Amino acid sequence: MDIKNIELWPRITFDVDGPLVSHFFLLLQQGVTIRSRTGCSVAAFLREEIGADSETIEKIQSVILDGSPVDDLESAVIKDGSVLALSAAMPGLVGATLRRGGTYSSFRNAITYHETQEECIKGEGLVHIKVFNLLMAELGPGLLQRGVVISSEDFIRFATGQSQDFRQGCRRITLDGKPLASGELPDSAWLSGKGHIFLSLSSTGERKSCLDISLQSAASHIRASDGREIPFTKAVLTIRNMCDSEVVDILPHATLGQEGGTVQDVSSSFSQSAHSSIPPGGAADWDVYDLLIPAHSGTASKIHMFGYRAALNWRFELAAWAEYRPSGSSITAQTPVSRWALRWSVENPATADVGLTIEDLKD
Amino acid sequence: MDKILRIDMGADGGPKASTAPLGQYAGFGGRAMTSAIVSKEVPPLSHPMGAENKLVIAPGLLSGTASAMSGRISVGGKSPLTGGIKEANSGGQPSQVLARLGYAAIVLEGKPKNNDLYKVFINKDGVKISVDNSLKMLPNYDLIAKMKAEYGDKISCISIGPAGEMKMASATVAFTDMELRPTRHAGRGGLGAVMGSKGVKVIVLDDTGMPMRSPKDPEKFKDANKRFVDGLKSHAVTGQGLPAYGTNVLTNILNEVGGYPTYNFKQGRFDGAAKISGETQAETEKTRGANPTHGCHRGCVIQCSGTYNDKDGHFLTKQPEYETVWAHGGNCGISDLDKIAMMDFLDDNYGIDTIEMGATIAVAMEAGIAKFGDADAAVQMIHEVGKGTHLGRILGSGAAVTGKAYGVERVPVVKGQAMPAYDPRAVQGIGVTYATSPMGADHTAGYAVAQNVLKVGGDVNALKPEGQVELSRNLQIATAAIDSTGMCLFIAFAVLDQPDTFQALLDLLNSFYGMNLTGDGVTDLGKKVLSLERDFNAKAGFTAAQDRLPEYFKSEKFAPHNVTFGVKDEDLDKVFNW
Ligand code: SF4
Repeated sequence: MDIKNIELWPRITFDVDGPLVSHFFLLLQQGVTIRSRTGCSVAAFLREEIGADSETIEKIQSVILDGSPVDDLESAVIKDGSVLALSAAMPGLVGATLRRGGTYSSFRNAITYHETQEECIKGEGLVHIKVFNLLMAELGPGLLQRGVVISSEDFIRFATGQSQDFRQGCRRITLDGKPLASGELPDSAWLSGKGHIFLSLSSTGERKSCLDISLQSAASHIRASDGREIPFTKAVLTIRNMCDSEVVDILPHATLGQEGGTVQDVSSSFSQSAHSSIPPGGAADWDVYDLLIPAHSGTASKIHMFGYRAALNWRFELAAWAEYRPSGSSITAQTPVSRWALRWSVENPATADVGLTIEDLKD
Repeated sequence: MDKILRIDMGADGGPKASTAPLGQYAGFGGRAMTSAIVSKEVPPLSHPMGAENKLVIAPGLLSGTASAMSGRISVGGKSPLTGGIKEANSGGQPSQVLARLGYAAIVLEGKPKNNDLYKVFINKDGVKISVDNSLKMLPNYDLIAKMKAEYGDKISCISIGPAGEMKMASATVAFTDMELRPTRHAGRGGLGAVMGSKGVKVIVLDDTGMPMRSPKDPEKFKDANKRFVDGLKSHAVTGQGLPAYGTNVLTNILNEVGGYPTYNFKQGRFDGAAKISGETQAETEKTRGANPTHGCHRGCVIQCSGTYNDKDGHFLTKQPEYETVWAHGGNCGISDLDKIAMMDFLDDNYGIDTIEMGATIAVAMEAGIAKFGDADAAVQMIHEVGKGTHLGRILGSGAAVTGKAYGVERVPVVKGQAMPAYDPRAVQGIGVTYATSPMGADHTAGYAVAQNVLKVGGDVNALKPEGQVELSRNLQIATAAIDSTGMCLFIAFAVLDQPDTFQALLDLLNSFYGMNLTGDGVTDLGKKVLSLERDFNAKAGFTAAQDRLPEYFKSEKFAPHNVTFGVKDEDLDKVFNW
């Protein structure tokens, strides 16, 4: 499979706390691949694709494009297949020599980058990016949150090198949306035959997500097979935009597991009521019973045969997160994964009212 | 620091120590002191192992004071490796201690009349020289353990390992660090062999009862030191990059630009670079409970060094530097950090220069003695040197001799000394310094990037080809000057970018000695040192032909950029026109 088919590679997501994020940094020195805009200047790429502000760009003292040190960030162009390496100021005469536009840049005239492309061909492509030294902490969280493609070899080396502490510290690991036990990381059998994987972090330390995902109960009714309207407490999944600007390209994900059954990816059910954008302060709701449970084939078939009672007194585990893009930014972000346990049960046998308990599993 | 200690190892009736005032050497420290004494007193045509050669050990001008970064020490003599004048410098505690004991230099001269091995003990009461043949062929770590048992742990030591005793041209002079380990070395040029030829195994220093050296103007000195330290701490390289990762932080970036000499300077990229980078090294050290941020002597505020533990968390060696990791790593096709750290330890223990040894192993691999990438074979080769086997004697004589012995053409040396970790075809300005430095191929010769501040040689148009020659000249001048202050060269990054920090350095010197040194004065000092060194080499038989890179750098294309060294010979000959 070609690396270009990013969507087809296994997607592994780690939900980790701030300090654990640094464990992933060494992957960045080897290089990771991202899909991004191409045909733009290195300066625009750093600003708009990597999310580097001017202070960070100032710290990026050495920029190496396809093996050649760049002096002018505005004229060097990112192309499909470019390899871009970024470093903070380095020691020694060679460190000074490799600084962009430095006094000693003439020392490396023989290898300096000269732009040959006369016209920028704008488009989208894959860029291989390497982040070194002090910049790993600066740019790493954003890049990892956005998601990167790495070789499965690199991933296996990474996974086998992690301590028990790391594995215990991961709040959740998902593979293609389904939870993956941390014990499955070191042997990485699921990777066999896969050339690359798409790796992302769902929580990167200090960064706050624009979207908040919550699950609440709401009084409602359900129609029983005999036609009676029975009070039934719904579970409402809400995604709320906490930022000051509109959030667009929202792609919600969820997995659902029934006690004793399998955990299944139920993301497809969101498409039935897609909310691709949410204004500041706005929210989008989904009814778990009506929308998500039908996507869980095991539970859905039981309900189909026995009615709503088939869902009672079982513990369900729901995990939800979303990819999104703040309007005006080209960077795709991802919310942390939220997890809950839900249980519907008859509260009052006399009336058959169905109540709901929701337990937040986040902590 | 107002006297010079001379020990005549060949005196009738046994070695004799004498002290004399500084005389004509007043105002000199570090490299200025070693090069002045060697150029004045050593006949340029003398044999490096002969009685006429001298080994000079000199602390810097500010060593032994409260000034930060002032604890580097210079060792000088006629080099058995290059045949020319040599200054190699090192960190470690002895610089501060020797300065507090009042010595601006120790000069070992003459030649013992028999094969006895000596130890020298210096404290506030004077100098004691005694025969101690029980020290023969002791590796440095064992030797220091013995000295500690004998003199206590308040000492610091200057010593040689078996390589120095065997007078190998890659032998170092070792200096103990703050933990009394022999981890710091004046590595380049084989000066350990000169110490060996004088029959001195170890110089033990104890400054108990000696006060810190006090400045002429304590208030101004204190203020200058504060500004100096603030400047170092606020700079991105000296304040963050070096402390976090050490010098090995250069591996990734050199590899990325294709300037990382790999497989004996065959190509500019190494596939295993990320496995041995400074970033990986620092992470490995942290997870094993070692310390990636540590000074090589008291008073260092940059702390580019560290400690390296083995897999079980036990101290293995100090944090190997970039040059070492490259020499034993990428240059030999080895990407195992633990093996590289082991080789660093062995080099320190036997007293061998890590750069020369790594370059030599790569030449030996090219000769077919072992395969590139075979770490165990590389470790074995160092043991051969330490034991002094026939193969070990050849390898211990350096890359040039090994290349000759095995008929290898690709031998990366200038003036007989192996090149460090930057390929001169990718970074050609460095090639100018490699070719023309009086020291032989030496990265530190042009390390001090002080051109903007010192304005040495006027304004340079760096974009013109000849700008590389001018810049190299200016850098060599500035480096010679900083080496003479005894300051660590790493201060140069902050000094380049922050003129206030350079002024603080001048103020430190001026308030300590009551002088009025300016930037021009520093430039003059640097020029003077270089002139003395060039003059010595000329009298030793060096001509422009020695100021050249090996021919293959001009013809063999270096991947990935497929470049050759393009600076013309006539331009190289202009470097020292001032
Ligand atoms: S910066 Fe490094 S080499 Fe310089 S004095 Fe400090 S520890 Fe030693």
